[in-house]
Amino acid sequence: MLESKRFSIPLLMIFAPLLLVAPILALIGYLIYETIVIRGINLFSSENLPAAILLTIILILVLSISLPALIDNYESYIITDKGIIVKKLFGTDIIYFSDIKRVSLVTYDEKYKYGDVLIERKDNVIHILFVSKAKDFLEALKSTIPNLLT
Amino acid sequence: MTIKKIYKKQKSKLAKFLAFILIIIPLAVLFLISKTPWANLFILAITGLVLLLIPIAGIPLFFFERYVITNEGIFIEYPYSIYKHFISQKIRFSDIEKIYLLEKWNCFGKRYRLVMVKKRGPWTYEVKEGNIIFLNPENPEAFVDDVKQYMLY
Repeated sequence: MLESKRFSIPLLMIFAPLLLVAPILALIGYLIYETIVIRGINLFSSENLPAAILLTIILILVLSISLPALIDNYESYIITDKGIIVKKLFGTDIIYFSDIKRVSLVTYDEKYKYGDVLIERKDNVIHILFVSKAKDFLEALKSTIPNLLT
Repeated sequence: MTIKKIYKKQKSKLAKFLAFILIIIPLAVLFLISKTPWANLFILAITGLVLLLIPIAGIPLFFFERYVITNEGIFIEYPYSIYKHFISQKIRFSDIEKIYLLEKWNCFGKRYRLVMVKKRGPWTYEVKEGNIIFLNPENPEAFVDDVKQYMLY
C-alpha cells in the first residue's frame, strides 16, 4: 500500500480534556505541596495513610474523567492508494475509496485551518473526519481519486 | 401528539462500569474520612463535592435516556426527569434537513454507529444554536428508517 499523506486532528482537540481538568489537578498539587512542604506533615506515615489514599482516589477520579476522553479523541488519517487509514491510539481501520460516494468540507475555520470533512459512503453511512489542515486533506483526496464527487 | 415508537439509549459496558466506579469510590472515600482523626474544613469540602457526585453519577446508571418518536417529531427525554420541562428536547420533523447514520471509531479502531440529525441552517455544533444533534439509540439503523418513514407523512 502506497502511503501518500498523513493528517491528524487539531492538537487542541487532543489536549482539551486535560485543559479542562488542569485547575483541579493544580488544586490537588497545591494541597499536597502545602501538606508536605509547608506544614511538614509526612503523608506516608501510618497515621496519615488515609489522607494519602484519599488524595490518590480523588486523583484517580479526576483522571478517570479526563483520560478516556483523551484516549478516545486521538485520531490521525493516512491517505494511501487504496483508502483512508484511520489510526486510533490502539488500533487502525480503513475507509476504502471504492466505498466512498461523495466527500465535502462542511465546516472550515479560516484562522486555524481546521474543519470537518464529511464522507458519504455508497451504503448511506457517513463518516466525519475532523482534520487540522482540512483543505489540504480534501486536495490530497481529490488528487488520489480523480472522479471523486465533492 | 401520538407516540409512535420509543428507543432506549445505547449503553456500553465500559460506561456502566465507570458509573459503578463513580459510586463505589465516593463511598470508599467517605469510609476513609470517617476514620481520619484530623478531618478539617478543606477535607470536609472535598467530601461534600464527592457526595454531590454520587447522585449525579448514579442517575444515568439506573435511568436511561430515551428517544421518543411521535407524529410531531423526536423527543429526547433525559433521565434528570425533575427538570424534564427544561431538559427534554424536541426536534420537529419540519426542522430536520437530513438524518444520517454516522460511523465512528473507538480507541481500538472498532467501528460503532450513531444517528446524526442535521437541522435546517448552517453546519454548527454550538450547544444552544447548533444544528447538529447526535443520538445514540439501541438500534440506530431501525431508528433512522423509522424517522425517515414518519417524516414522509
